[in-house]
Amino acid sequence: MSREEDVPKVQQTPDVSAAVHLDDVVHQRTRLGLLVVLAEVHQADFAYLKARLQLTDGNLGKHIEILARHDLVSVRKGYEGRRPRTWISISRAGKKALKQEVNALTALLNLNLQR
Amino acid sequence: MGTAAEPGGVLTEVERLRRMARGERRSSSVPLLAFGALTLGYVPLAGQLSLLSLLYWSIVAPMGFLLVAWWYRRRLVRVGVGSGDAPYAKTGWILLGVFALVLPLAAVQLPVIGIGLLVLAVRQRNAYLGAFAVLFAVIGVLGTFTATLENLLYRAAYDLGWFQPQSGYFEGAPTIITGAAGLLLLAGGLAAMWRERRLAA
Repeated sequence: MSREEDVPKVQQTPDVSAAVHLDDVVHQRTRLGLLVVLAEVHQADFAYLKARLQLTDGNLGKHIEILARHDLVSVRKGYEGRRPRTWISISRAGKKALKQEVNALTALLNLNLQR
Repeated sequence: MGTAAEPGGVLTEVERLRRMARGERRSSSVPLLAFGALTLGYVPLAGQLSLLSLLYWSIVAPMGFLLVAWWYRRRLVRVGVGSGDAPYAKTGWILLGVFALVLPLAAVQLPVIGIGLLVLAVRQRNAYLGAFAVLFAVIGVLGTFTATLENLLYRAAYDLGWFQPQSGYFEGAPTIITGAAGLLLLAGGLAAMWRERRLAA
């Protein structure tokens, strides 16, 4: 499945979208938040992300699945004692995509300020 | 987070999440307390030329980093966030190798530990831990490597009449310098622990 099929297009004014490139997979606010947190902490478990981003199990799972499908995060399931834990970590491609997104947002902000 | 049409709002939210996550991943108290205590443990051996004083850091420093690695691993499991134990364990093994090579050069031991702590601080993007690591390394360099602090203490002790030079060397200087370096880390660790507990409450 292509990235375009996963998520709706972001609404932008034509002149600005021509100047900056925003990746729809990364630009979605929950997924952007996930990548920001994971880039800082290296790895986090499902419960931590759910609490910090105030998401439901289903919602978080859906967004992690989309990010994992695009190789932006990796998911590792295991046990700590008897307790099942799901660990999520950001990939190199995820870090790169996040950096590009932040650069694009900064460029967009600068364009808006100039107008 | 902010709406997609407001890049300023999104960037502000990105920065907020980044700061929150960074704050939760960081922990300065345990490495500082551990190495503060280990440095104070070296005080009775400081300045001595014995097998025990030479072997102390070679054994204790890697063990210290492995201990910190174990604690970070426990924290990762408990809190559900962090870089795990890998960087600390790796530093412990690298230090073991370094100390095996520079065992006769007792003067470089404190700076090497300071550099080890600095590497971890950079990896954690932890300016607090980094500042203490740099101070510790500087004390180590000036105290034991170049003997600058030892000479200053010698002059101060002589001027104050605490010490009359017979051998031309103030034997108490290495003890004072090592003790000060240990107390510095311990104070930094206690302050970090207080702050971390306050944030967790």
